[in-house]
Amino acid sequence: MKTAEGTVACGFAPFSDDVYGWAYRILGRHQDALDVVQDVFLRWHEQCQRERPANERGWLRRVTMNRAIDVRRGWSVTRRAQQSAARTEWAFEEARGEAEADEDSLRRDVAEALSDLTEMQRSVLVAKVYDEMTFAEIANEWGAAVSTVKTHFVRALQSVRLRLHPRWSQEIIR
Amino acid sequence: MNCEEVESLLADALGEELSAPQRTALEAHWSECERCREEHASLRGAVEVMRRLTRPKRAQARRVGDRLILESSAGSTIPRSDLARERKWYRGVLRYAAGLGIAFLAGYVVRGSGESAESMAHRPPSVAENLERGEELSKDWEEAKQGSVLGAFLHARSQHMSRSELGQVLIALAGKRG
Repeated sequence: MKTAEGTVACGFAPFSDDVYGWAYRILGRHQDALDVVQDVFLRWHEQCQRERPANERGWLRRVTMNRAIDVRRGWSVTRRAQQSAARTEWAFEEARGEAEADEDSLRRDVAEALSDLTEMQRSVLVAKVYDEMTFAEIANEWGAAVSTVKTHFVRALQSVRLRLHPRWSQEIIR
Repeated sequence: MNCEEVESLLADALGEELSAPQRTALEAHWSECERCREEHASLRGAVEVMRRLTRPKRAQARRVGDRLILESSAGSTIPRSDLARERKWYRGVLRYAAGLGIAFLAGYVVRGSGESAESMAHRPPSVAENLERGEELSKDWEEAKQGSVLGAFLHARSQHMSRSELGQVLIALAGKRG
């Protein structure tokens, strides 16, 4: 029997931690990650009214990554506008700790690299690198052949490497 | 193992899903083929760079009615609206505490400076005070030396009195002795 909460949430609760984690990896800010969880939940709820996704976790990963990347793009636009209006952002950047700025810069680069990928490539890469799923599990989630998943993984990584290389070459070329 | 076979195992190598014999064969090839070794190393580097993004603190979010409820892994429940309210409350408390601290410090400074101003202000001593002081001085002087006015004067001088105070003490002393 479904609880009132279960009916409202449409079985979202078991995935909420994953959704938060995917969003946080890209955004690095608690409140923004929560906003993404909220948006994804609303889309999940709408989808549930029509038809429950066959591949629930895969659907949520895809929607979450897309939403988080969109939010991140919004920041870039805002930041550029602020920088052209005033140089206060630079002072802000300098005032922050170097490590924090470094991590934020890495988040931005990874988000940009992921945004260049196809949805399938992005999902496979995130599932493998962050969720540490096996190729067989990912293939099962997507209903695809294991060899296809592996091909997507390598192509996605090659694309990410190209994008990350200018800034993170020391780590990538050793 | 040739380069094509190694390439087919590249995903497994990067995804850490190689069997022991496959790993041995790959490592043997990498030791001889620089191109394959570098390709693997640079893609491995990209994975490592991606993994540097920190994993978030675990938090469960669930929806109850129109509210999003957060639950930390420790089990405490934090409604989202309460998080904002909590932050606002802490900010208010901090402001209040800072205000109190500033007021206390300001009061301390004003009081301290008031006291010092008061101590610096010249207040002419009363005759009774002068007499009392003269008696004390004369007693010390009686015990110390022969009882000359000069001795009393020098002793009073050592007390860092003002000139007018010294004069009054000496008059009072002379009157007592006379």
